[in-house]
Amino acid sequence: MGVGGHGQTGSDLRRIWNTLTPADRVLLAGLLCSSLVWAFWPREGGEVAVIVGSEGSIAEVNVDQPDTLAVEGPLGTTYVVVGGGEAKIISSPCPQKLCVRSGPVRRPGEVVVCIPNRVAVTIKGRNGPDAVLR
Amino acid sequence: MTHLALLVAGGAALSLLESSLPRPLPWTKIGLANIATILALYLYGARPAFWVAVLRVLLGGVFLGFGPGFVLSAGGGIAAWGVMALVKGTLGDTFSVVGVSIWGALTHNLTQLVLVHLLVRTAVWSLLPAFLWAAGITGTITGLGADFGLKLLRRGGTCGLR
Amino acid sequence: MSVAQLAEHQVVALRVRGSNPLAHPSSLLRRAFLLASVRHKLSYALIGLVLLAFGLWRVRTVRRSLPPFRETRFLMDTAVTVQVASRDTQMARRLADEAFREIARVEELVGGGATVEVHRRWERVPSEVARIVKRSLHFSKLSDGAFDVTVGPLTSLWGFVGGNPHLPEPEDVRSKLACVGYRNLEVSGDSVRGKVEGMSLDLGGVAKGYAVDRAVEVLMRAGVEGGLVEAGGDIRFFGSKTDGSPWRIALAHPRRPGEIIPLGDVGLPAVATSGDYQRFFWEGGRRYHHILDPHTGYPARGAVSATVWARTCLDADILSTALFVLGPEEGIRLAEGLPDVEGLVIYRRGGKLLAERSSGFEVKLKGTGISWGHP
Repeated sequence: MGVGGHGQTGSDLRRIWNTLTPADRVLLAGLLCSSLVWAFWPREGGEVAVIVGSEGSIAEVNVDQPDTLAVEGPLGTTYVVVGGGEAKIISSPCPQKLCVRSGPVRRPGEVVVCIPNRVAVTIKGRNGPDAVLR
Repeated sequence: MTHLALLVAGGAALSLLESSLPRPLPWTKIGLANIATILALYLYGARPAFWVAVLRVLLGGVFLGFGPGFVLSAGGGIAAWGVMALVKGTLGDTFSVVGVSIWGALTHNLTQLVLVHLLVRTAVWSLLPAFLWAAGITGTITGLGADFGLKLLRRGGTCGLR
Repeated sequence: MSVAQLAEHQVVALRVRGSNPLAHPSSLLRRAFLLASVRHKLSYALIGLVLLAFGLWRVRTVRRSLPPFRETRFLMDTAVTVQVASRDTQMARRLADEAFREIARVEELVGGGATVEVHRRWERVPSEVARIVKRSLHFSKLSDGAFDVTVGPLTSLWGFVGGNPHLPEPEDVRSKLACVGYRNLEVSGDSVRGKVEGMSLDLGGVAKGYAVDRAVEVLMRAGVEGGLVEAGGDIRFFGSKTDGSPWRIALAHPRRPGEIIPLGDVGLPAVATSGDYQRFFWEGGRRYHHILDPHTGYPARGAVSATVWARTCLDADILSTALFVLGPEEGIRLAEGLPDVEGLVIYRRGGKLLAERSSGFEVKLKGTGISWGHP
């Protein structure tokens, strides 16, 4: 397809747009708009999940913003899913998978840890306890 | 027949390619491989398209293993086939290939999300907007690719849809 | 196309009328809409959408540090968290680093969690290790061996230190049991010796409590408003947070992952929990946890978890293990008999979760699915 300057790109996109039927356009627009509205709809909460790797704290993410983080550890990649007010280790290369089975963390002070792969996810915030006995 | 076999092989190859792309959740795929299903749907009809979908998922499984990724791939691929066949059958004049492809991508992604939820039981629903976005984008890309492919394959005919 | 032509026509019409779109939001909206419907602008809009799509794929919001300063590192085979309440973030960061280094030092001192062999002849140990051992022996006597620092041969046999937990052969348990017993351990000054062959000390658990104490002392010496150190099931704190509010501690629900039970303030600075859910393995359809009863050589069955408040984290750590092994009745009796000690034991009876506590232990169990054994 078109390689070249702005005009070329523009005409290519125009051709693409022309291949769409009105129903296609409504579907596409509806999909993109609804996802935008959903993503930016104001929500309560605003706790922060702290992701800790073998070299200390590596990320602080809002637990209401959907996100997936890949954390590299000595055994491989641990996947942490954040969103909907909670954070959870959903996949881990460790043998026992206790971290995956221990469920999500929601309240400040809660921790889910994968000792073998050196990954911890904690919630910090103004409400709730400062530390949890595990 | 040779075309169908090629479609299966092409779809499986796309699965392999997809598995190396970034993804919002582990095991999920963005659904580029659905292009094989779409082409079969438009060239041969719903039933052959089903077999293309099933076989390309199985072939992908042979290469990538039959883990959680396979479950998601199978669920998403077959659900996408179902909805695309339905939309094409009932609203084939209203939606173009691209529209049908977007429906397929939407179904593919939502099915994967439901399956991930069942697998890990957590609040993956917060990732829904990202999945909707992805459906819009990959659906369009796949649809345009399929459109291009159809025009190429129907070369000598009416040059496809206009 | 006609739509585009119409749109351009109307844009011109708007311009001719010379209305200021900012003064009339509705006209601005209309204008934006009309502009957007002009065909060739759309290609750029589409490019923008695709770019936005990739931006949205990874939405992440990073917020600057909320007080208190908080950091987690992996030390002593667990995740250690240090919190420092100070308006001076730089200093808080430096202090936390110092506290972590103190914990690393203690870890080194006790041999990184491995068991320490004790021989028949007198051998010098670091004076801090001698102190930990003396404190351990003190509580071993009080608990009649329910807590026993000489349990090392058994922990090694079960593979709870250094790696691969597994169910040992009964005869091996029996033979190792002969090497266990605090009465066979002698401490004099900074030297230790065993009265029998093959003894070893399991300092893994108690060293964690001691390390927390030392790290907190580092923070206290610096004169900050408050601090908290947490290592696995051990917590000690002092002072308050920067806004003057007290540190709030909660207990993880022993059977419901993610749920917590807030603990009330009892006026003591250290608290520790021993639970059957902290470290365990499955074999032959049965679950075996890491808290061994020094009398039987097998995991203690009397409790689900034991939580103890004390003056120091070392005491809290030792006593939580003792209460766990003793079970609710004897365990709480021990806690009641000691000054500045409060205890809570959660246990299972007839398929139900029950709890027993000493008179000063503050906790509400409503909604936790745990009820009081003696209301």
